[in-house]
Amino acid sequence: MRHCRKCTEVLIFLFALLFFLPVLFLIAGSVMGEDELLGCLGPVFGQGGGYARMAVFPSFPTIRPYVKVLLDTPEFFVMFWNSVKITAGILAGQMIFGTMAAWGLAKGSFPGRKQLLWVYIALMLMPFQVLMLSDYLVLKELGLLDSHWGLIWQGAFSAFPVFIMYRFFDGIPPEMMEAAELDGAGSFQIFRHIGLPLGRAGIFSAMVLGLLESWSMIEQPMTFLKTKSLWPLSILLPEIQEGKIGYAFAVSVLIFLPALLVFLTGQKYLEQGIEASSVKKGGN
Amino acid sequence: MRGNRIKKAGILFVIFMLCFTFVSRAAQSVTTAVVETKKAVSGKITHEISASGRIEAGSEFAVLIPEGLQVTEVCVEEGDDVAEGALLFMTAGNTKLARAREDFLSWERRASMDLSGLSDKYLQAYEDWQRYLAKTEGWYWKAEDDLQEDELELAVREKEYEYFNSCKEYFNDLAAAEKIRIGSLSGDAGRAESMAAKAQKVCQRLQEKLDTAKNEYWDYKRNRERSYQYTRKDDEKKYREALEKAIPEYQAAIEDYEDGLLTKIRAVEDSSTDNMDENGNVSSPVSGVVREIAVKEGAATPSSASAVIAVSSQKKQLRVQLGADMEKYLSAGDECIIKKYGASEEIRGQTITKLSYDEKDASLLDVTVEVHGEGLAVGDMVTVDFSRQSEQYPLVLPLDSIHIESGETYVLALKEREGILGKNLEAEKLSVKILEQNSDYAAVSSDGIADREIIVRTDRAVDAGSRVRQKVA
Repeated sequence: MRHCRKCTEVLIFLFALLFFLPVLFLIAGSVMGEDELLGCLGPVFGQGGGYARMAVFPSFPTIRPYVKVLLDTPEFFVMFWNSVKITAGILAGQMIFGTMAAWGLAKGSFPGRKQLLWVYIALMLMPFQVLMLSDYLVLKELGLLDSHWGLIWQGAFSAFPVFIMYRFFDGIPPEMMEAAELDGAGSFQIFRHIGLPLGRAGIFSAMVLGLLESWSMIEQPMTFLKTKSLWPLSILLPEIQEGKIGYAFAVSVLIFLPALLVFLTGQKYLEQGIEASSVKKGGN
Repeated sequence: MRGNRIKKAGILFVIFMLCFTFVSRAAQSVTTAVVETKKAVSGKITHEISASGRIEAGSEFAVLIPEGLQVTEVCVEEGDDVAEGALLFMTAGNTKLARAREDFLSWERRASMDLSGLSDKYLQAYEDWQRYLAKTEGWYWKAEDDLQEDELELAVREKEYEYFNSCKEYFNDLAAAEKIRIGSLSGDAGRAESMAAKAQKVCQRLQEKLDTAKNEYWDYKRNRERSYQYTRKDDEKKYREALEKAIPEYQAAIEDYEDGLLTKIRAVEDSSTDNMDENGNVSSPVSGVVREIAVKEGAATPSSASAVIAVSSQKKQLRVQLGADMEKYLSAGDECIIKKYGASEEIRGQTITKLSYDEKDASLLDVTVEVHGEGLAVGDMVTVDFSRQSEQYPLVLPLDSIHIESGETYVLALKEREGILGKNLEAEKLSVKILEQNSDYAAVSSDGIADREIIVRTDRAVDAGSRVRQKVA
């Protein structure tokens, strides 16, 4: 039994390592010189035959790519703070509008509530390319094209966080709300003092997932932002060229770090959310 | 705990990014070149050329005397004023000249006699030839006359023949007609017949005479011509040969005489001088100042000028040397400004009188300026400024803004580019062609630089595409 368990752990570790290898390559590549990178990835750029390869440990490590990013590329920081602004705005909007929408769908009693939920789910399932044209026309009419507010408003009313938070709000026992009503609490007070604290896990889960999504979105900025000074960090990476490979790896690591930190911060709530939904399913 | 650590890491990351936001901006501002710009304007290119030299007399006279004469006494020094005819120095006498003259005279006597003898010989041959031609021509004309007389006689005979032939025909016709009219009248018919027969006989005799005369005529003509040609050919050959021999001899003699004459005259000229008398005393040909004395007592006279006299009655001039490439900016008649060393006053209105290449070095240009004005004397050190303005050009730029690289001439202009950092200025390369330039400015031709800000000065090296900042005036 113990032996089987060990083997299972080793197998799982190996699989985990396999999934972790790209991150290892990313970090290793960010401290490699251009010559060494071209030697590994030359076939990708049409130099030499054979296949691309990657080394976990660089032969001649260097921090020149980071120096280039941090000192020689002020554009990186402009785009970084653009990403911060867009992401913060979207999360704030989702926090305000998404939570209330999810509470209303979970605990409301108005006609068509179920149908409205299905509409939300349908909207959530649609890819961006389907909604792109309608979004563009709406933003154009509102005069929000080529500005961060266009992206922020569009993300703030996203259906996905509503769906995540709905599941959590739906798990709150109605008896607690009834008890609060008997104590004289109004709807908003119930939402604020009972719904938000008890649905905290779901809210944080939605925020984490929302941040990961908005931090790395590419299609929306490329479609709705023409001015280069408004571009977020996610658009910087597609400019990988021969001679800038190390620089691209360093940028990727720096982009990856905030997402990692946020994930680590909200990991507990994500796990709680996944656990809670599975228990609820079993209970139902 | 773990959550706190992660939060701290997050806060540190944000602070880190904030700090490096400023650091990277600071680093970029340090590495971004600050440039000064100017727009191309319409203007002229002024070429200012300066040179210095010493004021000289307008003309100088070089005293040339034969080389190799021994100088016995020098009577003047450099800077002395001398009058025309004043004694400059004395030599031991010009024996070379005397010898050259005697040699010339004796040669000339001999050469003239030889030439005269050949001339007589040639003339004699020529006269013989002329006489012969005249004589043979006389023969020819006489023969022509004789032939003409014979032709006349022949023509007369032919006329007679024709007459009698026509008489014969007439009488034949008459007899035929009489026979018919009278019939058997024997008297008239017989007379007509006898007259016709008589006429016929006369005609026959005439025909014979005519034929004979014709034959004699043609024989005579042929004989005459033949004898004339034979005689002429022999004699002609004799006289022609004599003449042909005499002509080249005479021509060669003339050429020799002319060559000899030139050589002798040159020898006399080399040995002679207007400035030195027969006793060897050299005097000044003009009034002026002695600028140079090239002889010393006891030494021999040089091959170049023994003395140079600056003629004081002539105008003053300034001669300077410039690079030959300056010729395109100068021309005779241009005005210039002269300034004395150590003085601030400018003397305007001086003109260039002559431009020529140095005889020894074609890369140098000699410029002669006629100097007028009371403030300048011969011997003064001065500076001269020449100025030439070009035509009006629509685009003139400072020369500092023009770059030449690998044969390509270009300027760097500011270009606004939309970037991630907002609107940036970067340097854009624009090709130009230089039409004319001086040391500071250049007139250019180019499409598209008329209203552009051209980078004229930077605080660091700038390439095409480099980000720059414009210096605020």
